[in-house]
Amino acid sequence: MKLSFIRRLNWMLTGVVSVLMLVSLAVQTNHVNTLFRPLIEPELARKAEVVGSYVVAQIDRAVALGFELDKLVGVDELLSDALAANPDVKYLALEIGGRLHAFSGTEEARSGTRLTVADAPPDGESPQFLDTVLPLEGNDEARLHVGVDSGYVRSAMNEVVFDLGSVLIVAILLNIEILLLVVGSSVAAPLRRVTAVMKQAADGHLGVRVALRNRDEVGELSRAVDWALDSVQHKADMSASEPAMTKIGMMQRVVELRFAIFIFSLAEELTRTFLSVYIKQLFEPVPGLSMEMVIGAPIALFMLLWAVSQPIAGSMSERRGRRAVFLGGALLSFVGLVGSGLATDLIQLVVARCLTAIGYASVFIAAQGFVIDATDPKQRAQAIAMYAGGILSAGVCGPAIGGVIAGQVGFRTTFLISAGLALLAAFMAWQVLPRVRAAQAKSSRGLRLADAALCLRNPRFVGLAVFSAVPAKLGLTALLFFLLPLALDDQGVSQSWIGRVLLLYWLLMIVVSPMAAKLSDRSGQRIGFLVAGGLVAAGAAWVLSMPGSLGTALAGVALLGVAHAMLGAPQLAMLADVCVKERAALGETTVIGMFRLIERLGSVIAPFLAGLFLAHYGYAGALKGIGAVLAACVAVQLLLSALFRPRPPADLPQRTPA
Amino acid sequence: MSLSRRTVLTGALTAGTLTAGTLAAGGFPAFAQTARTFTSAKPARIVVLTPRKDVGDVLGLRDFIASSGLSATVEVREVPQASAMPTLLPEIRASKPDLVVTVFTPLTLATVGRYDDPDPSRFLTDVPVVFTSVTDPVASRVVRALDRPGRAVTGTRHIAPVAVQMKTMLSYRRWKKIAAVYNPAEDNMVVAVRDLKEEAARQGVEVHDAALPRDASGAPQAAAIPDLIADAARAGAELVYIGPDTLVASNNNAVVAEQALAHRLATFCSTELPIRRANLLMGLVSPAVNVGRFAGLKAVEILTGAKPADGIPVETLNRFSLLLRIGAAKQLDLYPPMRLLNIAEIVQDA
Repeated sequence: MKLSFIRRLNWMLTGVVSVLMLVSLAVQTNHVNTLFRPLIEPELARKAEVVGSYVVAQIDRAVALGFELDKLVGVDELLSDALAANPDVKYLALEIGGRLHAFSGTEEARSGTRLTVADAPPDGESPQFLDTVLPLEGNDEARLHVGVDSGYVRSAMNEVVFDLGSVLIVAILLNIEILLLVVGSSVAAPLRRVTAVMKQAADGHLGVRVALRNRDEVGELSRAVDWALDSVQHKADMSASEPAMTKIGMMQRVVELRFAIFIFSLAEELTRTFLSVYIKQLFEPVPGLSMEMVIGAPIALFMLLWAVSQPIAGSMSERRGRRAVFLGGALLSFVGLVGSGLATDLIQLVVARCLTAIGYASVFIAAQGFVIDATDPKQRAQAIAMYAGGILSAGVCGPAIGGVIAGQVGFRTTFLISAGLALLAAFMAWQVLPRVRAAQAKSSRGLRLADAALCLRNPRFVGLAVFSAVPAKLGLTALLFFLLPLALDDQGVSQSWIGRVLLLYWLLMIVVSPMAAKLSDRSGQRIGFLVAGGLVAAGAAWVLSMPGSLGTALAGVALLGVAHAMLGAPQLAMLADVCVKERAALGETTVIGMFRLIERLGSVIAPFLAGLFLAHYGYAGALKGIGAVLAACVAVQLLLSALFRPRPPADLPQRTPA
Repeated sequence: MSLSRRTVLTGALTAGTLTAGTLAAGGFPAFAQTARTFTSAKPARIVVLTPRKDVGDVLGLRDFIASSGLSATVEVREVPQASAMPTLLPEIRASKPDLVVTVFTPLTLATVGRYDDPDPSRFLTDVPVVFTSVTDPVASRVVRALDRPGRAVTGTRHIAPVAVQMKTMLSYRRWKKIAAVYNPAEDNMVVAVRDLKEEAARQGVEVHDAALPRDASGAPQAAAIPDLIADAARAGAELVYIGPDTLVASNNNAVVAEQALAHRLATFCSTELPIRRANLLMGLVSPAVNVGRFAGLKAVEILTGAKPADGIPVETLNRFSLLLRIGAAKQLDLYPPMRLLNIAEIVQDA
C-alpha cells in the first residue's frame, strides 16, 4: 500500500513541528543566560547568604564568648552539618588570611589550603560555583565562603532540553499515527477505492459502485461517481454481473485498527520503565528463593502466559470472530492493569499481570488475524508491516511518556492511565472491527506438538530459532525490561531518564531495521548478519555492565537496538530458506507461528536467568552474564550452520519425514 | 533551614528546656473532684527535709506547689547531717504532716529506711514521702522498682543515664582514660562508678578508679583528693569524673576543680551545683529547680488523691542541660567543639 499522499503530508507537518520546536529550543537555550540566569542567580545567592549567616552567627557567638577564632574546635563539623541540611550548597569554607581554616563540601572547590573558586575562571568560562562571602566579627581577615553550584541553572535547563527532545520524537511519531488514521481512513483509502471502481468501470464492469457513506468531500466524490455509473449503466442497460469488490473497504479498517493497536500497545509500554522497580517495591520474601528471582517471576510469568495463550486465542478468534476476542482481550487487560495499579502485595500483582498477559495475547493475535482476513496475499505483508509499525511507535512513545508520567503522578496512577488506554483501544476496536464473523475465515490449523517436533528435527531451524531468535528476545527482556530499569533506578536515575534510555532502543529499531533489511537482502549474507547482530547484542550487554550510569546505558541500549534491527529481516528470510520442507508440510503460517512461539521462550526464561545472575553477581555481573549467554548462543549457531550446510533435503534425506 | 541538634546527643540534652515548667502552666482541673480537699482554712501540711535550704530542688518544689493552686503550707527544715534524723523523727511524726519531702539520697534513706527493712520505730512509714534528687533509689533500696515503688514513697532522680553522660564526655574530646574520684562509703556512688566502668568499657575508654581512702575508723578521707588527682594525672587520665557524691561533689568541688586545673585535667560532673560553684569544665545535669518542680508535681498528685501514693512511679526528667564553663575551657586550652558549644548553657566565671 503506497502512502505517498500521507507521507508527503506527514513530512510536511513533521517538518513544521520539528522546526518550530527546534527554534523554540534554540531560543530557550539562548535565553538561559539573558533571562533565566539573572532571575535564578540572585535567589541562589540569597540562599547562600541565609545559610552562611546562620553559620557565621554561631562562630561569632564563640568569638564573643572569648574563644580565639583560629583555635575553634569542630568548625568542620559545624560546616558539614550546615551542608547536610542544605543540599543546594556545594561547599562552606572558613578562610582566615587567605588560608582555609575549615572546609566542608566538594573537593573541586579547593586545592590544599586554598579556595580555588575565588580565582577568576579562564576567559570566556562562567564560574562553576557562585561564591558568596560573609565577614566574621573580631577578625578582619576572616571570611566565610558559601558556594552554590552555578551549574544548577545549566542542569535544570538541560533537563528541559532533553524533555523537549523526547517530546519532539514522540510528537513526530504521534503525527504519523494520527495522519495515518485521519488521512488514511478518510482520504487515501476512499480515493483508492474510487480509483479501483473507475478502473473496473473502464473495463466494462458498470455494476460496481463506490458506496461510501463519508459525509465529506470524498464522500461527495464517491456519490458523484456512483451517480455517473448509475446513469451510464442505465443508458447502456447492462445487467449487473460484476466481480466482487472485496477487501478495499477493509483496508480502511486496517488503518483505523493500527491506531487502536498503537493506543493499546502504549498502555503496556507506559509501564515499561518502572515495572521491575514497582515489583521490587511490593517484594515479600519467599522462602527458598532469592529476592531477584522473585522479582523476575511476574515478568517471566507474563511472558509465558503471553506465549501460551497466543495460539489458543488465535484459534478462538477464528471460531468466535476477531472482534469478540479483541474486545475480550482488551477488557481483560483493562482489568489486569487496574489490578496492577491497586495491588497491595506481590500475589495480587502476579494475578493482575497474568490477566493482562492473556489480554495482550488475545488482542494482538486477533488484530493480526483481522489484518490477514482483510487483505489479499499481495497486500498482506505491507498491511502487517503497517500494523506492526503501530506497535513499534508505541515502543518509542510509551517509555518516554510513561517515564515522565510516572515521575509526576507515581507508578500506581500510571497503571490506571494505562488501563484507560486499554479501554480506549477496546472502544476503537468496537467501532472498527466488523460485527460479523469473517465469512471466509480460513480454518488454518492450530499449532500442534507434532508440528514442533517436525520443525525441531531440522538442525538449521534449531540454530535459527533457538540460538538466534530466542537469545534476541532473551536479551531484550533481560536487559531492557528487567535489569536496566532496576539498575538505573538503583543509581538514582529519574524515571524520565530511564524512559529516554529505553526510547533509544525502539528509535534505532525503527531507523536501522529498514536499512539492515535492504543490506542483508542485497548482500545475501544472512548468517553473517545474524552472527554480527548476535555479537553486537552481546557487546551491548557488556557495555551496559560498565560503570558510569547514563552514558554507558545510552551506548549499550543503542547497540542493542542496532543489533536487534540487524536480526529481524534476515531471521525471517533465513526461516524461509531453512524450512522449505516444513513449509510445504505445514504451511507458511504454521511455521512462522512455531518460530514466534519458540522465540517467545526467550522472554520467558529471561527474567529467571537475569534474576539468578543478579542474586549471585550483582548488576554488573548479571549484565555481563547475559552478555556471555548471548555470545555463547552465537557460537552454537555458527557451529550448527557450519555442520549443517544449506540444502538440507540433499544433505539430510534420512531426516525428512514421510 | 535548621542545623540538626539531634546529631549530637540523641536528643538527650537540650539547653535550658524546662519540662516541669510546662507542667505547671496548665493547671490541674482534676483536683476539684478529689476526695481529700485542702482549703485555706485547713491547708495541706508539707514538711521538707533538706541538708541546705537554698538548694534548687526546694525552690522548684515550692514554686510548683504555689502555682498548682493547691492550698498547702510548706515547712522547710534544714538537716545538715543525715545521722540526726532518728532524733528528729518523733517530733516530725507528732506534727502530723500530710506529706514529707526529702532531698538527696542520705536524708531520704534516713527518713524512710529500706523498702525490705521497714522499721516503724526508726523510720517514717505512715506518711507519704516524696524524695528528690536521689541517684539510684533501687540500688539504694528506697523503692523496690522505679515503676512500682511498693509503698507510699516515690520521687525524682536527677542524673542522666550513664550512657548519655559518657556520650557527652566523648563529644567534647575522644578521651582515652578518665578518672572517677568518689566516696566509696556512699552506696549510690559505688553503683554509679560500676555503671560508669561498664559503659566506658563498651566505648573503649579506660576508667582510673580514684576512690577516697578511709582512715582507721573507716571514715573516707576527703583530704586525699589532691593526691588522688595527682596520681590520676600521672596514670595518664585526661578527665576527672565526679558523680552525685555528697562528700566529693557537694562538699569538695572547689578542691577537685583547683587540683584538676593544676594538673591540666578536664572535669565532668553529673550534678548541677558543683559546676555552678566551682571551676569545673562541664556537666550534664537536670537543673535542680526542674527536678524539684517534678517532685512538686508528684506531691500534688498524692495530696489531691489524683493518684494513689504507692502507685506513682519514680522518674527522671528526660531532658538534660549541658553546662560548659568557658573560663575552665580557656585555662585548660581545651576549646569545646562547635556542636557542643551551640547546644550548651554557658557558665561564666563570677
